[in-house]
Amino acid sequence: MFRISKLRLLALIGIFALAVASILVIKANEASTEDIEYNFSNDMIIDSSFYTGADDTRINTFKGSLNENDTFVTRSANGKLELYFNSNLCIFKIKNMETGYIYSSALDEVDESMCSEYYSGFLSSSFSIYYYQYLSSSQNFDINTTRAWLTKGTKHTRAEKETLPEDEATKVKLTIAEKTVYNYQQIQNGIKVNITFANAKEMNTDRSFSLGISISAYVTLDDNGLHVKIPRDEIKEENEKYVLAGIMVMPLLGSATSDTPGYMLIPDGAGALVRYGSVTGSAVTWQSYPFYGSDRGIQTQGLDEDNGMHDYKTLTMPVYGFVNGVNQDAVLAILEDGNKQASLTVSPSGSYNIKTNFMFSTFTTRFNYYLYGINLTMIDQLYEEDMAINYRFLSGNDANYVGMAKCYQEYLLEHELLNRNTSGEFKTNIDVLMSDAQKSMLGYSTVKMTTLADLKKIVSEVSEDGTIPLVNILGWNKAGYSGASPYTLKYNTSLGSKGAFKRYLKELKSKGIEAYLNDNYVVGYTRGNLTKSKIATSLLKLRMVFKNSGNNLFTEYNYIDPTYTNKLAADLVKKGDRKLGLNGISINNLGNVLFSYYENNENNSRFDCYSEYDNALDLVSSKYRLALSKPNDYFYKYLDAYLQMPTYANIYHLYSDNVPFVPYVIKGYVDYYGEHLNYNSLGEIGYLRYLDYGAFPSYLITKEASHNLKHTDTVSYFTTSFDDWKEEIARFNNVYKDGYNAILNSKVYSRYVPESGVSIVTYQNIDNGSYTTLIINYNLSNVTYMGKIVSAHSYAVVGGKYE
Amino acid sequence: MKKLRKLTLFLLVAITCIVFMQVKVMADNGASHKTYTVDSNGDMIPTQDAYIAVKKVTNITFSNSETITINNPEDIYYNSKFKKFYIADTGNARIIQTDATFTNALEIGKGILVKPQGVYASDDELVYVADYGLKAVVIFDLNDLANPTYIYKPTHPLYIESSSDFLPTKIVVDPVGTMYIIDSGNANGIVTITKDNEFSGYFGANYVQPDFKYVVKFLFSTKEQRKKLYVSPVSPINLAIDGDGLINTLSNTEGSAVKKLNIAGNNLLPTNMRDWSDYVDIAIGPTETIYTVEKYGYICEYDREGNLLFNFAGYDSTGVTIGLFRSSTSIEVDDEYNLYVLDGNQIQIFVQTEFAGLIHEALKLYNDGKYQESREPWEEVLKLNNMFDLAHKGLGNAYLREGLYKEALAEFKLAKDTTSYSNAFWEVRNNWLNDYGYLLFIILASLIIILIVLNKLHIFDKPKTSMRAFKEKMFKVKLIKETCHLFRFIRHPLDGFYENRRLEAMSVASATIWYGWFFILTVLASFFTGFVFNPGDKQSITIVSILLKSILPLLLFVVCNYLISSIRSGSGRFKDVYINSICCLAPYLIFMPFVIILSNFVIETESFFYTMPHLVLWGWSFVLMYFMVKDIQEFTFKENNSNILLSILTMLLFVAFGFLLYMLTKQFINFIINLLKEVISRV
Repeated sequence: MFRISKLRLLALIGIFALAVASILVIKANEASTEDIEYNFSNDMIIDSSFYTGADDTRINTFKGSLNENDTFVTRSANGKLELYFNSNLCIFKIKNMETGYIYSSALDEVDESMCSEYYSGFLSSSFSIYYYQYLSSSQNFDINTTRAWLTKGTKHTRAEKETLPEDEATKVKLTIAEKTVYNYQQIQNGIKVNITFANAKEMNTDRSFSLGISISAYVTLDDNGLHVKIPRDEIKEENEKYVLAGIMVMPLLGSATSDTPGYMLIPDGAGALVRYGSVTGSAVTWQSYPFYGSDRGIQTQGLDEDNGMHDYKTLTMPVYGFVNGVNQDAVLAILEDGNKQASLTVSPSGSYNIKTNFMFSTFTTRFNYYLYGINLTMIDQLYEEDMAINYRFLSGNDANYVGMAKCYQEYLLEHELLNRNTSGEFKTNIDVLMSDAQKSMLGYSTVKMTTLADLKKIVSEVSEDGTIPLVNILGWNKAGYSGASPYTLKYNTSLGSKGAFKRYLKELKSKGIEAYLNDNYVVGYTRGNLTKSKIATSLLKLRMVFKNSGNNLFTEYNYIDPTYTNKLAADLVKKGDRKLGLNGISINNLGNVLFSYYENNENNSRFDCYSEYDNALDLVSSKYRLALSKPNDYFYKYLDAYLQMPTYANIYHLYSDNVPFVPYVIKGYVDYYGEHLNYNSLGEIGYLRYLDYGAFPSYLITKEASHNLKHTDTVSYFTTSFDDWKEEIARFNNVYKDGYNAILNSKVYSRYVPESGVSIVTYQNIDNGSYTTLIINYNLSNVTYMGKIVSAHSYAVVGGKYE
Repeated sequence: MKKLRKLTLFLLVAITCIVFMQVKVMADNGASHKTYTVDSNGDMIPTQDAYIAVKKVTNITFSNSETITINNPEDIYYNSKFKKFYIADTGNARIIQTDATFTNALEIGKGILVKPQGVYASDDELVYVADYGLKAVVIFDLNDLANPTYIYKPTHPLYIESSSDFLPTKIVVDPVGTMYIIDSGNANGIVTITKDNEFSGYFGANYVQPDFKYVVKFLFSTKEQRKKLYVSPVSPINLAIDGDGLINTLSNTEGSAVKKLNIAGNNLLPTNMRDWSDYVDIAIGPTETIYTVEKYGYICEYDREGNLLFNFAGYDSTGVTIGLFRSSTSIEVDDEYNLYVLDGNQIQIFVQTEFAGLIHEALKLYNDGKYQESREPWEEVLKLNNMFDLAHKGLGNAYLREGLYKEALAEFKLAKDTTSYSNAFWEVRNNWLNDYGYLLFIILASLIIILIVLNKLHIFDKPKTSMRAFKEKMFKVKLIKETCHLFRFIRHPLDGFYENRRLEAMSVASATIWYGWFFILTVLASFFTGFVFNPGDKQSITIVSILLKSILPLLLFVVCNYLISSIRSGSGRFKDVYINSICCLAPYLIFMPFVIILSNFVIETESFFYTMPHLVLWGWSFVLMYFMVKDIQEFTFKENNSNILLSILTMLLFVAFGFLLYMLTKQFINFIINLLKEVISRV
């Protein structure tokens, strides 16, 4: 008996031991699988141009100079700036009295080694034009524009060189070009210049002749810097064979050589820098960017846009800047007028063999389009807008991209283009897709992704841990999200009753949760409410129908006539509240699209398009909360929320760094939310970047699994299921809320990158002026700053500012 | 893809003046390009960024800090033992050895090489260079760079006989030291030369697959003509060697451009891989994934079984964008999955994202047969892309190993993997039979016994009578009686035809009901046939496709057969042909529902139980059809044969004519639209 029980005992112990061992093994396995590290080359990514490189702390010794031809014109009221004018060559110089740096609108001395004879004229011209030339051979205007400089450069002959002193011999002779009529007069605070251009011939002067194109420019100085204004009314075209295409203004103002410590700032996407001397290889070329994106009203139809590339980012602000010596000298150019038909040209040193780095803006002055993409068709009409640039000069701690962002923020505030409209809370944007359309045996059917009940559950679950959501509802409409815009307030009752939906929106409002219904008033589909007559007509007098062949269902979309957009907005204001209990609306595309169009036998420019949209949004924002995705700066004034804030620039070889310029301009004044974090495939550094850029997180959510969208046009929404994202949303908020909470109601004061992968951003509270600093560590190793150890892939909040 | 490329080209010309407007915005991770994968339908669908181009290397620095640029390089090779890159700097006639930072570079073969196009570095410090200009392979010992070994044209009779010139362009060397050389223009395959400089034959030649047209042409040609018809196969253009020493080749042939060859030279990859033309290079990654790049810079990554994982990067004529290419010549991958791709005179570096890292991890475990362990990474992958079908398959396999059959079924269904689905379904069915099989047997057996006993006791007599009465009552309704006449064709088809013809047993209306049923049955078959036999998407089913599969061909036959028969003085009326044609399908119309139900319980290996009934039902129907025509039209066998043949021919003519008419109308409408557009834009 005893023996048997002993055996049993042994067996029992054995079984117990086995069980324990197996549990341990299983646990160990679990632990090891949890710890799988899917590491990618962290260093290679943070060292790339997609992040900001370490700060350049070198001192710029070059300060520019005045010469004997420069005469003093005026001094700003605060005594910080002085304007000089070289009347022989029409060159303006501005001296920053604080730093002694002298900026020049064009070069008054050009070295032979610096550029070709041809371009020396351009570099020394404060004003140049593009023009179209009539060709008698084809009885049409040449599709290529020709350039005309104000000044002309001529190299010395061999004989001259021998007689000249050595330092003179290498200089190019600069004169006003032959047949050019140029005069100037002193006006209050500055100079007025009149120029009638002649063609600029490279070598032989004998064939010079006047083009009959004249412009006048008012160049004045005040406390806000230099103002250059070219009035539309004073442009004259006296020879019908030559018509004005565009005006280039002060191309060399701010330019610097490649050994200058500093960079050029381009507001591409979130913002990008081109460090002097960093550009190599195929990037050494002129690159042009239209401000506010390009004009599709002048393009040949049928362009397919799904080319396998990510969406191009545009310049959403009409500004650019130069930093010549970081924290030493900088100039920010703001295009005040005419900016909707202007472009920015970047020329890194070496392109066209010009040995200096410069950027300049070109104002397009005339309607034109390419018929069939080949035949230039020009319209006699010039745009109605004046052209104006304001150059603002920065020094000391403001002479960097953050200083420029602050400067532009001040500009927007001064002109009431930006209002303080933050909630003062850290929020999470959840875009909830309720339904979309797919093909079925009989036409289309709706795929239900999130019912009203699901939506309620999602919002309440997200809020559980104290997260405050901003709910943006997509596909709430009849016929589903894709292919049905503009939706015109028709609710999809299969998602839940209309009454319940209305009550829920009211309930959210009473709880203080921002809720927006999503619609689109720019891109429309004939399956939606759009009839053919409401499709915009381009300047080519064709309906603006574009292809999107990447789509499963609706492969054509249309641009809506801006007048109709206005009517849709009026309808929304009238009925939205009554029909759907609407309290907030988010509108796609309206914030960042401008196009020329033809209506009522008239050509309408992008300025006209802007004023239609402006009216529409003025009306909408007076009644509802308004959220726009990636809006251009002219609509910041209406915003309650900025959605889809870019955190990258275009991926051009030209750029040496990505910087948060655009986000910092509105930080503290409007809440902004990044692009959907569902698509972040870089793990933690993708999240840290949002904090670095001050962008609140944003997610795209559905209740059902994403594979249900496989046959819809939202096939790119492949990771949206709330079950998959719930924990991740909570984790993000748990980890990052301290960081975001520390910088609420604050604007950016400074940002330093002392070493690659470390951003130190100081914020200043707008209400009490106190400073808080975030230290963000993208590296895989710990770093110590301001006495604080910041662990790998993490951040720290420190009081006070970093110097 | 070609279309995509053309469009890219067009778009990039206008790079600065096009705004890319999309309603749907995807966040980017610093990638200029989108990444695509292929779904189970073979469609390209977007996915998370898998690789991000971080850099364009334009300059390389020597150890003496002299900076150089490369000129039209044609090959890049990475040796993982020494962590060094070797670049065939073709334009400068040299090889550059460098580390991953592209500093501390070393120049090899300057003054010796003429046009080096391929380079390989072995673990025993030998650098092999395929020099097209020298017409030789040059082997450098890294410890004695000045005295290389030259390998010229093999003198072996087999080589001499089949090739005129030795023009090496690419080279790899296996662990034993055998060189595999791409000999430009030599269609016999890859030239293999042993360590001792002995030609050891050709390897991995492509074959010409004669198509039908070729065979017909060949059959009708004379001897002289046939000589001209011989086509030489496409030669491989590049090659790579994987961790197991297997040679992977790349040829610009459709479907099997990428080949993984075993020692016998047989391809281990499927011949229907998703590939593109204009490939230039191939590389093998750490988990045996295969990378290819084509000359416009489109990069593909396949798993070791040949499934396309990612397709990304692409063309950019301006050369201003990182991650896009003007022209690409070579690709290489290091141990960390970083890609190095030659782009003109620059090198672009791509790094994998966390998403690609997860997939590589999952694939590694999956390849090692650790299906259960691969579950977690696959689940993570699906969280990041719920439409990634390979992950559904992987996860399904993991579930299968864990005995979670129902979950596995759902995953395999999403992945449209019928074979694995069948395996999982077998398990489910087997478990069910184990649990309830005996019960089913007992119930069935007892039911039968009870029925027999009850029948013996005459219990059913009364119900039987009342049933009969009910039937008679129902048959008083003419339409029902006529409709039910179709059942007669199962056992007495000839009587059925006779009764139809002489006694008007069926009316047009009742036949039309059956035509309707034929349509409904086809719809049911499309929607409810078991997944194993019907894995396609239900969304793609349209009314037109159902009509084309069901009553339209039948009606066409009816019309054509009637027309032909009446010309050939058949005695059938149109009505007869219409009614009796559907009657011929009686076996299909009556038994098909059972086949549809059965298909839901059968697995792939038992497909006999699905295909056989199909064959029988259709065969039966066709036989009936034959006799129907003969009976109705009162033809002899001979007459009937030619009648049916002519009917089929007429059907084809009708189809051709219909198509022609459709095309012409379309053209005409297009013409009018274009004309109007032209007028509008000109006026």
